[in-house]
This record gives sequence, C-alpha cells and structure tokens, in this order.
Amino acid sequence: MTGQIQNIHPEDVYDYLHSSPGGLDDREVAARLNEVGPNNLEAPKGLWWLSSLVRQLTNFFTVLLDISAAICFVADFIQPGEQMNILGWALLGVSMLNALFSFAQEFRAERAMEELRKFLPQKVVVRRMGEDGEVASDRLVPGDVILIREGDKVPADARLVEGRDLVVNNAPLTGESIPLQVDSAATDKALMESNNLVFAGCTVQRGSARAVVFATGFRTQFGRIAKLSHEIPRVASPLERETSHMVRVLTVIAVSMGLVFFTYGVVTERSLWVNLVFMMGIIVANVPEGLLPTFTLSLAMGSLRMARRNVLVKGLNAVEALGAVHVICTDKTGTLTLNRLSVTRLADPLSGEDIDSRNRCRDVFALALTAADIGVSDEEFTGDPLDIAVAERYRADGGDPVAITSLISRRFAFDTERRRAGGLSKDKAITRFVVKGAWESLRPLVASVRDGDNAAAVAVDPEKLEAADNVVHRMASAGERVIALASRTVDVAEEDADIDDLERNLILEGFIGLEDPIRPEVPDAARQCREAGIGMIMITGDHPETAEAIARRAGILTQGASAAQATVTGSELANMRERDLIARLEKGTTVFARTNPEQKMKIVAALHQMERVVAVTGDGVNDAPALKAADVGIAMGRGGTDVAREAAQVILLDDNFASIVAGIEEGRTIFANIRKFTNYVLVSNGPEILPYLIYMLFPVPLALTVIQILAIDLGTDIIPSMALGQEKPTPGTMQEPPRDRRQGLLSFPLIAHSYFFLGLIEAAFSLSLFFWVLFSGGWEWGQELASTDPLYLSATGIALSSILLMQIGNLFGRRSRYESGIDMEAFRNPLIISGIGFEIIFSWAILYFPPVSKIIGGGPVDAHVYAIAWVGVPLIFGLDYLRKRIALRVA
Amino acid sequence: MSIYLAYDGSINANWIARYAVRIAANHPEKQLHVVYIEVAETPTPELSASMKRIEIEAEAVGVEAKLELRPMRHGVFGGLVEHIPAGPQSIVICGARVKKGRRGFLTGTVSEQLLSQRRYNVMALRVVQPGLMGLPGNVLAPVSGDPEGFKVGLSMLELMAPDIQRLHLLNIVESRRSPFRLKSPGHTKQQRARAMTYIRGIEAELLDQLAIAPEYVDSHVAIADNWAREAIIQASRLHAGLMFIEAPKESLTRRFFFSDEVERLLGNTPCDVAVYRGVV
Repeated sequence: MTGQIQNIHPEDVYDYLHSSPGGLDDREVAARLNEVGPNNLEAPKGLWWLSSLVRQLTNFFTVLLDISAAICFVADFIQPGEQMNILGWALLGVSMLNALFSFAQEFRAERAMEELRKFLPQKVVVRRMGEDGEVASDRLVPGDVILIREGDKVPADARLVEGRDLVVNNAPLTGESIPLQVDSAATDKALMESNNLVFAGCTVQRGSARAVVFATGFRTQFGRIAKLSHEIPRVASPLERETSHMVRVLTVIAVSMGLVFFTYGVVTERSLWVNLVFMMGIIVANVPEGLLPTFTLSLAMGSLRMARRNVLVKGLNAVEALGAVHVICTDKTGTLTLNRLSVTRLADPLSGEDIDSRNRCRDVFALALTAADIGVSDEEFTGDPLDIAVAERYRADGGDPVAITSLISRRFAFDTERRRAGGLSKDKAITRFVVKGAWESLRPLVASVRDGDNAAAVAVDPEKLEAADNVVHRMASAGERVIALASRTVDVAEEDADIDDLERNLILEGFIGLEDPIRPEVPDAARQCREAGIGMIMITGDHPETAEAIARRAGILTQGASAAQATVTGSELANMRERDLIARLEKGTTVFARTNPEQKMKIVAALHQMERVVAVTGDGVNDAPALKAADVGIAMGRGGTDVAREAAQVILLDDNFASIVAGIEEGRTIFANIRKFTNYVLVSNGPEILPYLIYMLFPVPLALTVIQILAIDLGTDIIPSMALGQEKPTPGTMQEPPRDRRQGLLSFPLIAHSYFFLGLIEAAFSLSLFFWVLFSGGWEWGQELASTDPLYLSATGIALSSILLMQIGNLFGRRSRYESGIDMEAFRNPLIISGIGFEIIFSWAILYFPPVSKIIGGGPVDAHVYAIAWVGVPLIFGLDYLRKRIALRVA
Repeated sequence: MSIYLAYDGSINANWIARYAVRIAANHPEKQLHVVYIEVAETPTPELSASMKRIEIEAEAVGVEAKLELRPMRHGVFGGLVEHIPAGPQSIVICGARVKKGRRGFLTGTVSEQLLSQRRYNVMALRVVQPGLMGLPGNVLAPVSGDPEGFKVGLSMLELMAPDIQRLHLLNIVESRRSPFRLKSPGHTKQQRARAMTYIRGIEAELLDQLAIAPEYVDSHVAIADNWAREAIIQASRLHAGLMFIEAPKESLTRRFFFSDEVERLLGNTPCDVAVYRGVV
C-alpha cells in the first residue's frame, strides 16, 4: 500500500479496487450498487419544495403584510362601507407576490443542478464478466472497468490502467480548456494534479483508454462541486438585512404604541371596540405599508436601468448589493482584457530584439504551428487561443497554416506537468520535431541557440542561458505571455521514438510574445473604484510577472506598489492558512497569479472573515461555488457556462469589468434613493400618529381615519416614492467610500428628521387647519361629532388634503441632502411630475369630488381655506431648506 | 493500546480497513486486530480473499494484521463485546452504512451501539472517497461546545496525525434563521471574535498534544443558521478528505424531535466522515 489511488502501479489497481481485468460480475455489481447507490447527481427528493414554500409564507415580511391585511378585514367588519376589505385583499396580494418571488429564487438552485447533470453521459461502455457492453452510466459502481474513447464524457472518477495518447479536457474541474495528456503510469502527485486519472464531467478529446472506477455520484470531484453549488445558501444582501431590521424596529414601535393606547383606553373606561379600532389605527399609522412594495418597484426599475448598462440582475436584492460592494475579485481574461490573444512580437532568444527578417519570422511561426493543434471551421481557426493567434499571424504574413499542420505526423498534447506541447512534421525528406511551452520547462532541454545575426545554431553556455532568461523576464514584465520555441531535425529511425528521446539536443529558435490587450475602459473604471474606496483583486492563471504587468496596466496595482507584497501565487495560496491569507490581504495583496478557480472560494471566505462585501466574477463550472458564496456572484454573459450563469446573481452581458463599476454606481444610487424615499414616507407618519394621541388624551374628534392613513401610505405616497427611487446618480456617488455596514437604513438621525422635525411640522399645520375648520363651523371644545357629520368630514378632509400638499414640499426637499432639490433634473423625472399632479388632484378631490370624498371620508371647505392649505408646501420646504443650510455649515 | 477493526466483509468495510491499517501503521505496536463475527457458519471465498487482501496491504506498511473470526453472542454486537477488552486501551474502528438505510447511516447499526455503549474509544467511518485509500490529506474537525469530548478524540486523531496534510478546526456558531437576519454586522463581528478566541484556545491545546507543526493547523469560524449544512459547505470549501466529528450526546427523544445532525452530515458530506466517541 503506497498511498492514494494515483500513487499505485497500474497492475495493482484492480486488486486495490477489488476488481479484475475482466471486470465485475453481475452479482458483485448488484451488491455494490445496493451498497453505494447509483452514479448520478440526484437532487433531494420528496417535498423539499413544500418546506421551502412554507418558509417563504412564514417569513417576517409576509407575516407582517398578512397581519396588516387582517387588520383591514377586522376594520371592515367593525366599520363596514369604508372599503377596508379591498385594501386587505391588496395587502394579501402583495404578501403572496413577495413569498412566491422568494420561492422562485430557491428553485433556481435546482436549475443549476440540472445544468450540472448535463455534463454526465447517459451511457458508458463497461467491461463486465470479461465482455464489453453499454450500460446506463448511473449503473456504474466502484471497481467497474470502463472504456473511454474520443468524444466521450467521463461518467465517474476512474484510474487509467491501459491506454495511449489519451487527451482529456478537464475544464469543468479546472476552468482551463486546455488539452491534457494522461496515461496509466503511477505518479506521486496529489489526486487533482495527477495525470493518470479521469474525472466525471470531463471530456475525452483524443485517444482511448481503459480505466477502473473508484468514485461515483456525489463522491466524484465533479459531484463535490455539484454538492457545494447546491448546498451553499444565498447570502442575505445588505439591503435585505437592513430592511428586515427597519421593519422590525417600526413594528415594535407600532405594536408598543398600539398596546399603550389600548391599555389607556381600558383604564379610561372606553368601550372595547373603540379601543380595538384605535389600537389598529395607531399600528396602521406607524407601519409604512407602502414602503415594502415601493422597495420592490424601485429595485425592479433599478434592475432595468442596470440592464441598459449591460448588467443583468437575476435577483432584485443584488441590485443594491452591488452598490454595497467593498471588494471586486475579478478574472483577467475577457473581463479586464479583450480575450483576443495576438502575437505582438517574435524576439531573438539572446538579444531580445524583434526578429526583422520576414523569412525567418515565417519559418519560426511555421515551427510553432507544428506544435499546435488547430482546426478550421468557416474560415475561422478553432483550438487553443494561443495556437489560433500564431496561425492568424502566420496567415497575415502570407503563409497557409493548414499547409503546415497537414504535415504533422505526430502530436504531443500540452502536458500540464511538463508545461509544453510538441509535434513532429515530415516535409519530403526532412522530419522536424518542435516543442513549444514555458521557458522554464524548455531550458534544460536546449543544447544550442539560434543566433540572431546569421540564424546559425550555436552551442549554449551559462551566459547564453542567462541572456535568454533576461529576455523572458523583460517580456513577462511588460505583460506579455512568453512562449519559448525549440526544434531539431529527426532521423527516420527516431520518428517513432518516445517524447523523452525526442526532447534532446534542441535548438532554441526564439520567444513568441503574445498579448491579450486590456479593454480600453478598464483603467478608468479601476480609477473610479479607487476613488470609491472599492478594492480590486485580480485572480488569474497567468505567470506572476505577466499578471503584475497587466494589473499595473489595468490600474489594479498602482505604480508605486511593491509587486512582492501585492502578488500571491496559487501554490503559496494553497499552503496558506486562512489567517495568513487575511494578513496578506490586509497588507494589500491584489494579484493572485497561477491560481485555479477553486481557490477563489478561499479568497472569498477570507474576505468574509474581514467583514467585506465581496463581488466575484466567474465563467466556469468550478466557479459556481464561489459565485454562490460571494455576496454578489457575477457570471459572464458571453463567455460563461450555463452553470455559472445559474449560480450567479448578476450576469455581465458584455463580460466587461467597466460594466461592473457601472453596476456599482447604479447600486449605490439605488441605496441612496431608497434612503430618500424611506425618509419621505416616514415623514407622513408624524401627522398620522399625532391625531390619535390627541384624540386619546383630549375630548376632540379624530383628525384622520384609518382609511385616510392607508390612502396616504398605499396611495398618494407611492408615486412620489417611486420618483425618488428613479433619481439619477449624483456626481459624488463614486467619490465616497462604501457605506459602513453598521449604519443601517433606519438611523437615528433619519428617524429624528422624519418624525420629530418634518413630521411635527406636517402634523401641526394639518391639525391647525382641522381645528380652524371645526371652530369656524361652530364646534365647541368637548363636543362629539358623528363620523357622517358634514362639519367633521370637511375638517378631516382639509387635514388630509394639507398633508398631501405638504408632501410635495417634502418630495423636493428629499432630492438632495444639502441642496434645495429644485432644479431642472426634477422636472425631467416624469414620476415627480406625475406624483405632484396626483397629490394635487387628490387633495382637491377628497374635498370637492363626491365619488372620492365619499370613499375617503372628506367634505368641501371654503376656497380660501383650501388656498391656505397650499401654504404648507413652501412652509415645509422652507423650514427644511433652512435646516439644510445650518447642517451644511455645521458639517 | 490495541486497534480493532470490526469487519463485515463488505466493500465499504474494505475501504474502512484502509483507514484502520493507516492508523495501526502510526501506532508503535503496528498491530491490527481484524475481527469478523461469524454471521454464517462458513466464511465465503470472497470473505477469505478480502481478509487476505487486508493482510497484504497491512504488511506493505509494516503492520501485522491478525485476522480473528469470532462467533456471535446474541448478535454481532454481543460477539464484539465479548471479544474486545473494554477500556480506553482499545480503539475500535467500524463503519457506518455507505448507503442510507431506512433509519439512516448510523442509526440502528452495530457501530451506533459501539458508540453509545462507551466501552471503548470508537471511530465509526463512512467512506465516500475510496480513491483516497485511507489518506485523507486535509481533515476538518468541527468542534462542538464540549472541549472535553474533543480532547478524548485527540487520542484517535493523534494516530492519524502523520498522514494529515492540514488539520482544519472549525467552530460553527449557530444562529436561528430569523434572528440571524436581524443581527447587525457589529454583533456578528463580536460573535465571530469570541468564537475565534475559543477555537484558537483549542488549537493551542491540540498543538501541545499532537506531533503536528503549527503551520499545518488552521482555525475557522462560521456563523450560520444551520450547523450541519455549514459543516458540509466548509468541508467542500477546504477540500477536506475527512470530517472528524464527535458522536452526539443527545437522547433519542431529542434526536427524534430536532433531527440528527450527524445523520445529515453522514448523508450529505462529500468527503469521508469519522464519528468518534471516547472513554477516559
């Protein structure tokens, strides 16, 4: 017993997995199937969806809305004819919509699992009882001997026991779509790094092999990703947490006040029914019923605006979550760069200067194509992006890449362990072996080097190797991807030799520099991030020097920053404990080079430990867990897989980093707007609550009925709130640091401003008009009035009317923290115009338009009284503006 | 100290045997008692071959595997109890069901009886990654609120230490769903800091006791509304090969009403799971 499955010799594999070259027999298969279960990624069965639905129907928001609806139904029962039951049904509808929306979110996780299942094959060729046959892949068990061939999807994790020239693509696991040569020889590498295993969900690109299954179903590496993608719960967004907190605070205030009133009523010997009605009235007055639907509407409209900026938001809460982001962990290729790899230069191996000779350039690129694996489809090259870039360059230089590749007699696919690929080309009498790859991997194989001046090969010595090292270092530091190219002629006798024999006495031909240009918008977007206090972390599989150079060009790494401090490699990361990683991140690490996508999870977890709100980009299957674990998972719309798109909350339609920054700006604006309309809505709570306090304490009529309160909260306040939700970003939006997570939506200054300043102004003014109308109509202190008394209807009508008009002044005031709020932009927002129009028409209709005044409970007043109600608009606006000027001076 | 493997001849038992062989290889006596309780009168050829295979694999790492076939005494559990001497000097390695039975993975098994009787140091394993062949590499040890229980488990962990690449200690602070959503970031930060202090204390104690270098031990804290689910997520995130958890102390009634988290872990964790309970 020598170690794990990849460490044992192929001939021992059968014994260790209790199998044999002839495969298992049916009895053994049945026993093992019974013992370990089928080889599939079955989702949990049963009534899981029911429990999810029940959970959504019993969450706090839903219950709160249901209670509000119940209050309406009770009120309707006590005071029929006031249409309270209609409001009750409306609230129930909103509650159901909220619950079903959340339920639909949970169903998405199951859709992601469905996408993952597509990676596994339906059928597989298995050797059982000495014969090969096709069976359903979910019937596979550990110990089964499978045959995998070109084009197959691998059904389970298996150890190779026979096979030659098998090339697989492990992109679902590694995220890198590069061919990987695997064989059956034992290796001392770790399980995931070994090249004698094939993994479920991956594909066979070339060759065939026999392998013994050692893990099935969720026990495979692919199954682990599936499990993780399925199990990780969605992170509650900052807005969800804050609205949850706000609603709870407001509910506690409302219920406490309601109970105090109820108790007071009992003590003062009022009737039980009256006490109940007033308790409900005070609760209704305190709870901003319209706020939650307005949140949803505002976020939905925000998501439309984001979509126009190429940011498609799948869950409404992600709209605002983007605005709260502290750190963006971004991929490089395609997000920061254009994903258009192109050859920038061909450098002389010793001097590093560009090779000018056109003929030599063509010769060297032709050699590079000999070690390439490309195809042609509709005039377009297909295959590895690097090979495509070389082929395009060769074609641009007037060559025919297909003519070169048609001469290839043997191919050696890219080997991750050797970090190089090779090919053998036979043209007439000359056979040439070419190898291309990382310079570090070719360096020990090079015996001579092509001299720049006369193109003759000269023997290498330590000085020449050092000169070549310097060339590579200079090219990588400039952000170029460097590919070394070496070749030699091969005798006929050597043509079938092993790769180890061929890779001898090579001549270093030159270095090909390639570049994937930075997107032009990225440096500016990075500058915006810095100004907005948002950290940027680049996670890439590139060489550290290349990664650093690109990070500098993109603006992620500032010019003065130390590269050693800022960069961590994948191997360093693998050995780091979480606390070490946190320490590096705190010291300013911004570049993770030579990493694999799975390591993203480790970075996200460390950032979460640092209490950061994290956005992560990803495109591959194995990015799915990190996308789900992040506060905002961002999938690539063009280059991403369906699995990544299903796991993410945000899809970037143009794969562009700059769009993320645009989304953040939009998200921040949305939060600022939510705060504005929360402030706006809470102001009307003051004049809604105060009449109840006065009514309970003094022998006066009630100035505002429950239906009138609901008319404000669920009626006239909605459009102005939505208008505030549509406000455009202010110039300072991206110049402030991310908001402090400790500062919630509902802060003490906001409550004080809403209730005790603007709320009191509205209450005082509306109550003044209420009593003015009463006294003018002959009412005397302590006199009781029937709810249908015309005098009472006029008085309560003008109270409501004046509140609605004052909300116009409040609306302008809320548009800006320190400015007046009256500018041309205000009149370009159609919802502001509509909101104001609605307030004006409604304030008139409740007094003078019988169909409305009958339902709401209002009556006409003298025209001069209504005219005085208009004074409330400049009054509240002016006093608030005065406060702003004082606040600005203090600030 | 003697190491016993309660062996039933199944493929699952063969996978578990690899852990037992590794543990025995890290013990100075390098002996493993493979105990098979004879449910049938004559052992089948497959059983003999499997036991022989264990012997060969044990020999490869310098362990002497003693194959012991013993009769039943009122069932398999009785046979084991009669044969294995009680006390902390015995470590019994046994298996959970590999596939969920009607009552779960552990409930109703001989392994559950062994764990609940507290006669020996018992480790019940569920192997889901047979390719690791008893070498899990990364081990995740979620630490419950009972440091004493974990200390007892240390004696077993000690025997696995040479094969561990990294030991991840995990303290999950469970928070009920609704209140969790209400908690402010400041409150969560405080909770996290307290939990980290606690787990670092355990880490220090563990480093004193185990032959394991500090850089191979990492401590983590997670605040979650579902303990079992968080443990599963962390196991995947940390690429754990084995999760090492203490057997629950709750009574059957409590497990009935509050569901058994160990069963949920055994059923959903995509890595091997070792459930332990020790005697002082």
